[in-house]
Amino acid sequence: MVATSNQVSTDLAGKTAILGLKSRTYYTLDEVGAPIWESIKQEQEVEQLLQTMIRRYDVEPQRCEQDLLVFLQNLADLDLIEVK
Amino acid sequence: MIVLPRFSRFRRLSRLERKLLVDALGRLIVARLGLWFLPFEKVRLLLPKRRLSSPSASSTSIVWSIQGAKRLVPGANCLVQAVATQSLLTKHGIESRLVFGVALEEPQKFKAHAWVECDGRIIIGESSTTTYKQLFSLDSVK
Repeated sequence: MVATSNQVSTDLAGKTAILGLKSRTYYTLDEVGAPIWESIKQEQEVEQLLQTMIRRYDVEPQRCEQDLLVFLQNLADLDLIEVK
Repeated sequence: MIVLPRFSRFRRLSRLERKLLVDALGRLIVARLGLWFLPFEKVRLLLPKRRLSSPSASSTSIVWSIQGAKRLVPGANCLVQAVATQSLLTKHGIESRLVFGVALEEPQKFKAHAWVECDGRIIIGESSTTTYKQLFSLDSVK
């Protein structure tokens, strides 16, 4: 997965602000989403992302995978990330 | 009664100032309507691109004209003003940068803003209350 070119983003006090250039809408990611976004900007395998999150958070792997996939799907629906 | 004093003030302005005001008003209206109906990229292209061969206005007078004319355009927010300002600056041969910024105010209040810079200095849209972080910028169309 990688961030598309249809957006610009910046970190903002631990969160991330993203401007979708096509939708002309601003989005914010909280302290959990912000590091995920940082990784995706450089291009990242979903599996790698998942493993990092499981290590970082005290969460059940299955639950983590579910939540992560929903989150990524939301970003993809907003044309902010794409599958390579 | 409210209209008359404004008009007499308008008549007391110099020819250049009047032209600037009218030009600013026109561009604000185009920007305002354009941003309502069109994607942002198209709006910048909508505005007149003609550059004067002998430009006559300073950035200060251009900002003055935009701030004066905006009172006649309902909904002329920071982005409308910034787009109109940049286009008027370009007409008078002044390079500028349109900047989009964001700020996070406690608690969880997210704000977005737009302003115009010339030579790294904010000439319109400066906020005295909030420090915005630059997210994106557009240099004037060459």
